Amino acid sequence: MILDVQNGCFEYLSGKPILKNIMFHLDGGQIMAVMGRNGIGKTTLIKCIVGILPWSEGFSTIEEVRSQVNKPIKSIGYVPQAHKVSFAYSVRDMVVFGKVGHQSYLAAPGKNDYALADDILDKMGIYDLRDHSCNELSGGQLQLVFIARALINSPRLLVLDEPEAHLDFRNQIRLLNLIKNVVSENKIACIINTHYPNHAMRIADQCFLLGEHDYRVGLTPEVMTEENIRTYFGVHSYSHQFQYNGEAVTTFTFLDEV
Amino acid sequence: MNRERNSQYHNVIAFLLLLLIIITVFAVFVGQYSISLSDLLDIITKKTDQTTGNTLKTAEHVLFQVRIPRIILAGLVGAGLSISGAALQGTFQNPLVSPDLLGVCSGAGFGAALGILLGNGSGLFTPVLSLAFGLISVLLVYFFTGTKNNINTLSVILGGIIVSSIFTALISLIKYVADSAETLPAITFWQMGSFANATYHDIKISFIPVVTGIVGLILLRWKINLLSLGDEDCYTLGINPNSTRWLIILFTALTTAGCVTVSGVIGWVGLVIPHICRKFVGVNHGYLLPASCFAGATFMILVDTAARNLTAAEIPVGILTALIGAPFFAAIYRRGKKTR
Repeated sequence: MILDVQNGCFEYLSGKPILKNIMFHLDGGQIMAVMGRNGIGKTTLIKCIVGILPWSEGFSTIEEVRSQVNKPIKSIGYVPQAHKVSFAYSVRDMVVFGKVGHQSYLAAPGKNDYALADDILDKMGIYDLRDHSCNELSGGQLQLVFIARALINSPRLLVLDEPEAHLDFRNQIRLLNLIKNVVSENKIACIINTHYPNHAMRIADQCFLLGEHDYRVGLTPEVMTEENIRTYFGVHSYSHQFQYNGEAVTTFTFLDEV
Repeated sequence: MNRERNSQYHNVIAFLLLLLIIITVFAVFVGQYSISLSDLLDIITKKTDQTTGNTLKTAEHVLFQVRIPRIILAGLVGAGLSISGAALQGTFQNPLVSPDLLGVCSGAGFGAALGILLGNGSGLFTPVLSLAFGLISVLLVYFFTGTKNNINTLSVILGGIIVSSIFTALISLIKYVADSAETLPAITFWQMGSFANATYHDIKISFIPVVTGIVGLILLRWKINLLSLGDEDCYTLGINPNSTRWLIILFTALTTAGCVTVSGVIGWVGLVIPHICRKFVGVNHGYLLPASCFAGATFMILVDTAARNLTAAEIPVGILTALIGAPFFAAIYRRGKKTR
């Protein structure tokens, strides 16, 4: 078990809880998709797990280490949404920055670290971009750079906040396949915040639907039903199954608001 | 290729070092009192003894007691202010920031003004006050922002503005009550920033804070890269942004207070030198900080040499750096806009 959340609660203002009694765990090689309506607290949940925000009650551990606000956990690789940076660092530098926080306090990255960065950029197919400035990249390319940066330390838990947000369909599929491969090759755990239930259907082993007063978590086929989508998204949907490449694929089509 | 970038960086540093040496030698020779090369060689090889003429003795005095301490101090202050500027620009994610961001210059200026008012500006009294108040201003900013965990950079900057205003007003108050015959001109002249009358005493006072600060910032330079990405990214990359930020602020405060104590308020160096260096070594603070150090030292020695040679009476260095720095900054800013 890599990630364990025990009775986690969080509220910004006392009396208005956002997260109540969150309990679930993730093993290596598992992907969990977190979904819910805008503003429901998906990013808050992620931030509590990672340690950016403190749980009001309860706790979460990554490989037995509790998340705390002032002590970043080094075995987490966090991928924020692609955003502009105040200085135009090169892609290679941006990826190497992932190493800086993991060495001794005063060390500077060496040849090996840069070689590792090159290696990861190559695996992700963006080696050609290594000398480009981050501020010149498209949203999708920058997203890949951030993922490379998170992977450079071989994290045990990979956390992605809406990674498909800026990508076209083809890049979305590439990203999903990339995540699936990284997770299964390295037996790490992964949480993805996503607004695309069909993506969850494709790659997630577990799904977490966050509602205003409660939540539902479990294996994907059990949690992702038309009824739950109606309850947690407020949308009528229709699920359809078909065969593709020898695999049974289920997709949801969204019809009307409730 | 990273090898290219790395070797380009090493080339730039080697060039800057060479430039520093050349400018230093140049500064040693150029002055109101002319020293010839043969005189210099004689002095260096210690050929002066009882029988040597007065001119050589005067030359020796000018060299060792007037010029060299001045050059060393200018180099030290130039390096300190430049690296502080570069560090703060990265830490606060804003290339328009200068070492005075948190009121250190105003605080140190107040300490010096107080020293000149109460004492007569000589001895250890004034420098100690100046150094103390420079560091107190940062302490005040720290207490203003509170000791909560998630302090955003905006409140630190606001704290700096508040503390800076208070000390600036207090400096004006001191000038108001100061005796206009001697004390007021002394304070005013001090504020313009100058290396005239630099002595080894000044070097001894400023050496520890400035060098400590520079060494600290050099060791932390890669962490500044992470800080410049924003607190969330910084935290998730493994560094506590709050404690690292305050550590960097402490080192820049040490350096800046140490510089201002011995040279007065010299503006624009901390702002412009990092900008120039970015054009040659890029934005990575791992390379920018050492480059700013050398470039700042060279620049300051050059400007100080101009300050004491351009006219018969000396021009305070702070005036020259503003006259050179501000238009220069306007020029690079405009050029930058055109290319966009």
